[in-house]
Amino acid sequence: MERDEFERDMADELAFHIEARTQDLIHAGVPEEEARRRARLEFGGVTTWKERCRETRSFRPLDELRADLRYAIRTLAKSPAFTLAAVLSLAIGIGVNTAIFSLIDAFSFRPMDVPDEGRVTRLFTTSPQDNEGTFSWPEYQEFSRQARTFSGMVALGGRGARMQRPDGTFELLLINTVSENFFRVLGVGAAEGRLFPTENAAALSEHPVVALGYDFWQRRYGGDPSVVGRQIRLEGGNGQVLLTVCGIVPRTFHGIESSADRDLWAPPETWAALHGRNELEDRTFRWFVALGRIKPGASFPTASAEMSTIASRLAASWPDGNRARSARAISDLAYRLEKTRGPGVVFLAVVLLVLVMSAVNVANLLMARAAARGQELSIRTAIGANRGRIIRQMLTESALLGGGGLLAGIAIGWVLIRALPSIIGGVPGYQMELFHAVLDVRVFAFAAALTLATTVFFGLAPALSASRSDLNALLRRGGDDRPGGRFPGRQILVGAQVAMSLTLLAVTSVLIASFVRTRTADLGIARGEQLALFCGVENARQVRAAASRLRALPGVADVGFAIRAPLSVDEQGWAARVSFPERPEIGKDAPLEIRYNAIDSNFLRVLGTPVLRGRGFSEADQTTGPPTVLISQTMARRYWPGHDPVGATFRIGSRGVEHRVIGVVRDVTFNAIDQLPEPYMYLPWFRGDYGEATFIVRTNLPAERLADTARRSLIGIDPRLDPMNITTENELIRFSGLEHRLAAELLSILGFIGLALTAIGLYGVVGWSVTRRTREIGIRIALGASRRETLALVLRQTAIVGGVGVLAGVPLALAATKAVSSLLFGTNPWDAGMFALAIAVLAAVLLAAGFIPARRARRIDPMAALRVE
Amino acid sequence: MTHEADLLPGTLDLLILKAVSLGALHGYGVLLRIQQISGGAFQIEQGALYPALYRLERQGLLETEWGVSDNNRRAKYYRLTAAGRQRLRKETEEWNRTVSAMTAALLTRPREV
Repeated sequence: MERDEFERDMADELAFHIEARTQDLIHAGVPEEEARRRARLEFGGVTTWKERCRETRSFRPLDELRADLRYAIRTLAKSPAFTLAAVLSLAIGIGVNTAIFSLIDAFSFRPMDVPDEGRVTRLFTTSPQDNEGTFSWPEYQEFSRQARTFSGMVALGGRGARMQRPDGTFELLLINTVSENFFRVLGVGAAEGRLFPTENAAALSEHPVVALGYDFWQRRYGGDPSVVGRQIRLEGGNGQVLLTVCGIVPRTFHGIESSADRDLWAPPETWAALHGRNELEDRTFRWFVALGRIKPGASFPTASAEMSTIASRLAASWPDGNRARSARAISDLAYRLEKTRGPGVVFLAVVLLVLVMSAVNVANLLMARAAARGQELSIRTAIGANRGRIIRQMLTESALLGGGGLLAGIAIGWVLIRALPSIIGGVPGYQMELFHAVLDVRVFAFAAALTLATTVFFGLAPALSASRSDLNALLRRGGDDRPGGRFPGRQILVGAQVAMSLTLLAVTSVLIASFVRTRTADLGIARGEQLALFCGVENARQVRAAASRLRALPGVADVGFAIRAPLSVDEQGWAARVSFPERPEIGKDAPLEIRYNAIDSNFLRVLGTPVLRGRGFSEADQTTGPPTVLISQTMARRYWPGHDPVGATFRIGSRGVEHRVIGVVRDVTFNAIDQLPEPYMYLPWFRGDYGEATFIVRTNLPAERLADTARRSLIGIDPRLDPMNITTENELIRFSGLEHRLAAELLSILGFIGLALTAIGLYGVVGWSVTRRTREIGIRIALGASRRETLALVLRQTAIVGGVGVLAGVPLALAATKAVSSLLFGTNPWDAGMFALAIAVLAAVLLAAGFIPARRARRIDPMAALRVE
Repeated sequence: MTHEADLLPGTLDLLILKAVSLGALHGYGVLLRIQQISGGAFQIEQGALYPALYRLERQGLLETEWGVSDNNRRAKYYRLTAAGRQRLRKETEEWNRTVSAMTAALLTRPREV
């Protein structure tokens, strides 16, 4: 190598000089030892002159870079603790933040992956009770036909159909029934084939088609493109139907809610072929979500006004179903923001906070190092290293540090984005991914840019400071820790970090407290081992057979069933029109609808929900005699305030069948864990035509261990009884608290990271100041300060920085917990106990971080310390 | 040693060029030649010679060649290039101009102003 040769030649040349001079001196009569010594003395510092010689040559950039890299690696390897802390801070700042932000983003506010998303509009029908109502198929068609401000309007209804597996069992597939124009209006192209060949509507009903969701295509057909054009057999209410696969939906499109994937996408003709036209013709069966794309130039308020105009025309032409109903439009982006504003902003703020904390930490570490290296650099400058060269070397070092942090950050982010969704969990019983999360490139770039800029800036500071720039003055002031020091810059940074950490801890702890509340809250049901199996059933005989077969399984204590289990993951449940003939004022303005569940006689007992007044259903109520109903205590309080409703009658359903109240039941949280109790009714399952049943199996085994046996015994009765969904009531409770859990889990990760960063930061500052004060401490010890006093001296610094940080942090923390109160479930945002806990945890970590350097100070040997300077 | 003068900035290069112009020399030889031709008048820190030699080589004023010294050791010899010779001439002229101007200036008496 040219460079090695240069070094060798230079060494030879200088050695030759000294040797020649020595020989001359010896010839002049100087004794050999003395001659050697004098020759070297006259020559001067060999290292210095070599450095000067090197400077005369400018190496090729690559050589120089290599040399700088080698130098940087050597220096970084010499202080592994610093290097590790800095790289870790960077990696956390970049990786964890990006991953968590991406998850939150995927969970809440990522827009649909369609072109020109800004013009996509959410459409709702509204009633006095419901601001976000859905559409029946005829309603959708009317709105779509009459609207002028939209270039297209689409509808989507999610349902299910069975498909036989190769082993003869049935799998429930989730079908999105969508209007034919769905993909065209949204601008989603097919991954394979076509997303509905729509030029001939008649052909669609003769030869029904279906499109496969990307994940289903991969799962079931291994991504084989030749499946397009083939026929698949599905079973619906009309029996088995052959459908032609017309195309594959692209991977990037998951429908309107990014969290839920559907297996199949089908136009309404396909739905009609599977299940008949009833549900498409029923004007009040509102099972479609509608979206529109507004025309260029049209505004959202205009569109919304037009929707309400059309709604009033519908109310006039179909008073029975549409009286007192209106409609509105809101931009999809605005809707998502509205939905996620509270939690979204909190998460964003926290992610930003942790990002800032990691940047501060890196700055802190580098500044501590800068102070430590001041001496090394002034020596190098003194022996003639040129400043540009030093700056280049420091830059290389910072870049290496930053590059390491970046790589580690990518690795951490990559691992987290894969691991977190499975830790957090999917929808119980469904084989679908809750998250389609990918690392968000923009956030990644932002985090990387911020932390890298910090690294380079603070990494260069010591090199620049060698030239006594303003920065130097700043650093020197910031670095002055001695009594009377002017501007304790680093302490201020750490104090700020303590304050941020307290804020983070306070938010984390109230969220955890709130999450714990969701686990222990009274849901109106007994918490215990209960398996829930959701099946489609053909008739009463079949459901009785299934229940008795399940009851006979070993380990089963009791079995009941209903159309839905509490907290099951689907729509808000069934609701029925209710009227009180002797009290016409109720439901005068708008038809009153009350949610209900159809149950067998055992259901309430199995759930552990007490009948507070009257009695539960008997077998007679289920089959013969006058119709009876059970009502929830909230319904009793609302419609029979101060009276005993048992024995009262009211009418249910569009035909207004009279039902007698036979009992009042404790409120059960049926929909979402944080929902207030609402009026609710229970009807006898056997008197309706529900076609589905969720068996609740109470067991003294862990419920999930029973899942397989239970499923096999149901298939034993009829393969069609194969449960569409098996889960446990505990899972459902867990999932229903998902938002709380997600908030608690993600924020505790961030809280922990913030705490760790603060500890590293404080450790760095105190450790550094002990190094700086070694001489002072040594003198104190020499003058008779006891080791305990020395320890106290150093710990006092920790206490001051920590105390000031905590004081500054309390108002911040109060404001922050107040801001997250919308995420809290039954928890006071200003819970004194939680605050005390957060402060205690922080204090403990700070003391530990201060104690290690303090112990080092205690051990300082006064004599050695005085020799240092 | 107090009678030895410190070198004026820039003069070391000129001395080296002059020394080498009298024949190829190794580094130590350059030192000896300068002491010889200057009558030992200058205090030169010996190591300082080398950065100057390297710089002049870099500027193309000197060329080098490895050879064998009087006592049979491998040594690097410096020789003046054409550019170096030209530079020497130019620098010498400048030096002479400066010196005569300085001399004239310093010899000025009050009446002559």
